[in-house]
Amino acid sequence: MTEQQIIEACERGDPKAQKWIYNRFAPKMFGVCRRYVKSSADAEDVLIEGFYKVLTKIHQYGGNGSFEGWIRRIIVNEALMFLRKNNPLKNATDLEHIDIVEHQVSVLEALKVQDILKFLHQLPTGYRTVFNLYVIEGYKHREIAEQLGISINTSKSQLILAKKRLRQLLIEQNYVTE
Amino acid sequence: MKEKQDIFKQFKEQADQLEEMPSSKAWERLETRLQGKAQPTTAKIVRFRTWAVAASLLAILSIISILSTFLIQPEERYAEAEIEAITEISASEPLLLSDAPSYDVYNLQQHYRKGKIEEGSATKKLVAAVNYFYNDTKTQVVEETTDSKKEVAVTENIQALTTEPKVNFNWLEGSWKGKIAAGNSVENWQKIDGIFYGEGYLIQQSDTVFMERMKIVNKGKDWFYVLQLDPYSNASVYQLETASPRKIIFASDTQKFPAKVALIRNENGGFSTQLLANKSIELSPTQLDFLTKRNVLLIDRAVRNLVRK
Repeated sequence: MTEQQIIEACERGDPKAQKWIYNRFAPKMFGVCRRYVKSSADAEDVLIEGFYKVLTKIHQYGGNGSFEGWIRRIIVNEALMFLRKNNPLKNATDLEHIDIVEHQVSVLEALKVQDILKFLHQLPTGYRTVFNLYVIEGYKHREIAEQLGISINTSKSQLILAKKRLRQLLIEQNYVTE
Repeated sequence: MKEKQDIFKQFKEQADQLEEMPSSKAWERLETRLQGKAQPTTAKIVRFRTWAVAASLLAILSIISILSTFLIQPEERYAEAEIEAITEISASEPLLLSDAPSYDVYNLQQHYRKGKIEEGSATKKLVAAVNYFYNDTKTQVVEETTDSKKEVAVTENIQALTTEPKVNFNWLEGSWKGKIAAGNSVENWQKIDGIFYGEGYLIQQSDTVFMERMKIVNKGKDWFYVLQLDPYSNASVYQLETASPRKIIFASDTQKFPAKVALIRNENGGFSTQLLANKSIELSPTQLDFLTKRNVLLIDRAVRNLVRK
């Protein structure tokens, strides 16, 4: 069966097809949820809610772009919805005068997959969310601002601060040196 | 510079490979959900366990709270489930507009109710919708009405204000427009099965949308105003406090802002929504005036910004 056939079966509500899609994409999407949501139990709620939407609205996947990309967007949206509900970026401030001098660093130890969550979870929610969206998902500041209901400047400030904090953490834990 | 960028590039590369297995219960929960049964969330189960540990303490606390509730508030209390039923604004999900077939606010509203609008850029479409609504020349008629016509209208409005029943919301139905220096605002009200559903949009400059949803529900002899300030937050419930044909006030015991919502009608056929803060936090009231129904004109919003006194 091709992916297209499985998608079609899923559109008809075939439970086997639904499970196939879940098994195929859940580990990766749970990784996405974990990057945004600190608590594992909450991340799982986001995953389930996200997959519920994926599987019940699969007819809306028009075949434009990759199927995985489509699922990922839904999961990211779901994570953002969770964050907005529970930890809104209300207190995020725009920084007028921010030190944007980005010091050079030398890499001492290569980052590994298992390090990612360790570092991301040390960031405040606002930093982590914007960093995830900009650096990892590749969203533009305009899109982030729209998604999070914040201004473009806030998005930019949060990213700068996130990078600054991450660099600091990486230095402290001997991954890089100035 | 090169090395500096590499560290975040590395971050992205590693993050893209990140995979983690959800618990085996996750699929079971999803499957149950797909079969249409409600399930408690993992987070809720965990919270419940924590609660169980603190049960004895809670029992004492709840006895105290129940006692104080009866002592302070002798009037009828509503069961949690009833309040929940009132709070639920509609069955549809948070508004995420994308493939709205038309920019007409009414159409958007219909599609949104039917749950047909799901993903994509909410803001852009909504801004376009509201701006379209504003620029629709057919609705801009009041400017051309003569003074004598206005007088007749005012007399009729005053008569309506004195003769209509005190608790009456039928006048709310329709599309209301507000105009402020920073942009446009629209409030739509519609009565469906005895419940009044409202939606408010505020467009500032050309790209910021503030959206709120409202509901006015009748339960027995009581009326409730339900306010959801953004699609992602929980709704708050306000109970009818005082009513006159001119002014209806809803109040909440638990909300700090707004602690009260007042609907004030004026003799020109318009109305204002006033949001009042709890006395403990010194916030000046927010007022949004909708002077004309289906007409753009003369809207003056007295105080919108939550400026601390």
